[in-house]
Amino acid sequence: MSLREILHMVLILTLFTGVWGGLLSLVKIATEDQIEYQRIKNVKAPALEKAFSGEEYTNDPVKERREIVVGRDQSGDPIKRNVFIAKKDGRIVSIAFEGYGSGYGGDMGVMVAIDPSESVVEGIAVTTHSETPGVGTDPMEDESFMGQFSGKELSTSFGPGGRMDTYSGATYTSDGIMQGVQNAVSLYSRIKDKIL
Amino acid sequence: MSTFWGEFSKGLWKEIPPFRFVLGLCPVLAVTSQVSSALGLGCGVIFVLLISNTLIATFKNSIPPKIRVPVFIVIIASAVTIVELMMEAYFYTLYEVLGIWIPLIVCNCLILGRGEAFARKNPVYLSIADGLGMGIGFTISLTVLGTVREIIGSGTWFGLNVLPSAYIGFDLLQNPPGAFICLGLLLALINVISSRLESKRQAC
Repeated sequence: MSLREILHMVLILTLFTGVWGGLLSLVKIATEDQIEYQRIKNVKAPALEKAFSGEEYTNDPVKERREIVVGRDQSGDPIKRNVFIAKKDGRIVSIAFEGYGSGYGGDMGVMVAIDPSESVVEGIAVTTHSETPGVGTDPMEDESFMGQFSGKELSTSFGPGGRMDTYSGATYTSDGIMQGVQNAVSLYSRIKDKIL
Repeated sequence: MSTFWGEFSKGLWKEIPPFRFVLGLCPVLAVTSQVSSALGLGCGVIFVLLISNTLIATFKNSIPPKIRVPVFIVIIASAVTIVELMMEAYFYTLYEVLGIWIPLIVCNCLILGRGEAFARKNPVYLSIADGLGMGIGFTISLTVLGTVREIIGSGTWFGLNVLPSAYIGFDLLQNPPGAFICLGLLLALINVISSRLESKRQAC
């Protein structure tokens, strides 16, 4: 095999991989936003729907989500959180975002919807968890437990041992949900100026 | 034009891929428990096969034979990545169901096989016909297999109930062994039909 032949093969292969690599990055850029939208829509939308608890809105909160910096982690990078804004005829009727608490099996994400004009919690729904099926998942499906947060003022003490009732038989999970709600509510007071 | 049609139609019956060549069996067995996922993967394969056949035939004279396989793989893998990104962006539920099977289209020997055996030696328009025909043949096979497995296995078709609700389903067909059994039976059926056709033609 001559050197010329080898160089020719190297050139051809480089050309092919280079052109295709460039093309793929174009496709990636073109689809990026849509993929992000689909991921959030499919993972968070069911919980979002539950948290809004029947509040009517006319926009697509997933499409009009905003990323808000809520703090910085140990290495100084901003921690961002998606905030979903529901509007009716251009007026903000509800703001939803996740708060986190720790349940029995690890961290739990709780989507909390807040009515900004009345400063009350509108509804909550669990987004991510690793609780025991059939035990820890019971409070998440219990309407009287999940519903007790609705309509409460933001100044209420939502955390464990506060004004909320614990679901018997799943204390840790209830605590995790309450922490999540409390976390979201206290976050709200810090970020509401950025949203409204 | 007759050769174009000939190359296209051979993929639909005479050389219908999974049944005649028994090529690309992994996805055939894996995604056919539901018709919708079978059809979705089939469409992905049509697209990839079309792109890879076209490009391989276009550049066949400038690719040195010694490195043709790596170049083919680059072309195929890129086409598959495009399919994956598009599916995730616009058909998310299908993307979730197919999961790992989309990137694995790269390893589907049908695609590399058509590049090696056909597109490398034939003009572009014939390669397009071959790619389309083989891709559609592959999709039809997947859909037929998916139909049998979904209707008998769980009594639904495209997720809609087609059998009376008293039908409790036949779980075996929803599982991998059922895929093998179905594939075997369909292979047998196709062989019976084509040998009948053959003897009829000879009798004429």
